[in-house]
Amino acid sequence: MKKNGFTTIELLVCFIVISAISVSMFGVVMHYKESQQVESIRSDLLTYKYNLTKTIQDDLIKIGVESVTYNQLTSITFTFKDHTTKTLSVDRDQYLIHYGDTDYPLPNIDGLEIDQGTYFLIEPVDTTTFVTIRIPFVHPDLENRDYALFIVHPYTNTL
Amino acid sequence: MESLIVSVFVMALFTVLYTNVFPLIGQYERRENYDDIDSKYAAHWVRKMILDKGNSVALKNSIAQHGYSVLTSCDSTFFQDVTYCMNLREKMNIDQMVITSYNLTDVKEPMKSSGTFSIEFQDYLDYLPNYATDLDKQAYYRVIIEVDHGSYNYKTFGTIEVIM
Repeated sequence: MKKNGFTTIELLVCFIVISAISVSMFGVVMHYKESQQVESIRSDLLTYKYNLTKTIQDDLIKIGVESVTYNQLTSITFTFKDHTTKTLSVDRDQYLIHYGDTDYPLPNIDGLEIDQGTYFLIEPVDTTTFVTIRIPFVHPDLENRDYALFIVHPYTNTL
Repeated sequence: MESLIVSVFVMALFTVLYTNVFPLIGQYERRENYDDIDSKYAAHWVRKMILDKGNSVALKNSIAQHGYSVLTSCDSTFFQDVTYCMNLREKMNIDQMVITSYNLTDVKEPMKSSGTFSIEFQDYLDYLPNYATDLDKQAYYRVIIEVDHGSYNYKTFGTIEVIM
């Protein structure tokens, strides 16, 4: 009688090989799943930073700054050449940055917050004043890169 | 025999996949340091400094001679206001600033072999196109900057065109 089909040994070898491949792939898949989560957080934070940077830089560069004052350590007020004023302020407790009439809440990500520090610096050098804005964001998964909102704006003193 | 052929085929398939995908991951990680928003605005301010406070004749002569000119030391030959230049560099954490001709075809190799620029900067030069097709842009130049991120231990790069 002719016997067709696999032998027990063949099935066993096949099972062992497939198991080995599955186990080795599991680590790789988990690694990429974690990477994808970090990448998603990074992408949301960068989009937030880019939008806010562009909004502020557009005003600073296109309209031009007449003068700048600190209100407190957490806010700075720009008077523009068209005589309008806008205040940039940081509210760590509410997880938001306020600029002009608009609130910019941080992306809704667990663990993401605004770090402590001195956010604004105004340094007059000769006839130029350098305004430095640095608002750092922290997240446990994003520790090896600088994601701070960073703007340096030199303007000529006219007062 | 059949098993051997299939094994070799599968191994070859995995090797081809690996050798093609792995460099892409490296390139992606490197390119996130290129032309980010902070470097672009820093390049904008360097361009504005060149236009407002730069000696355009000296700059043009230098570029005509060498193809590029390193502005990192804020040389008084190129800038009327050296203090401003030094302060701008320091506050924006600019490690290297260079002005080149708009067309980079004949500039990249001399820059890379000069020994002045970091490996990362040379990689960025390789990444940049030559901008050789815009033949009408004769009065255009190019600013390239390298920004240092201090304790985070990485550098970002940006470029912007200048019309002088």
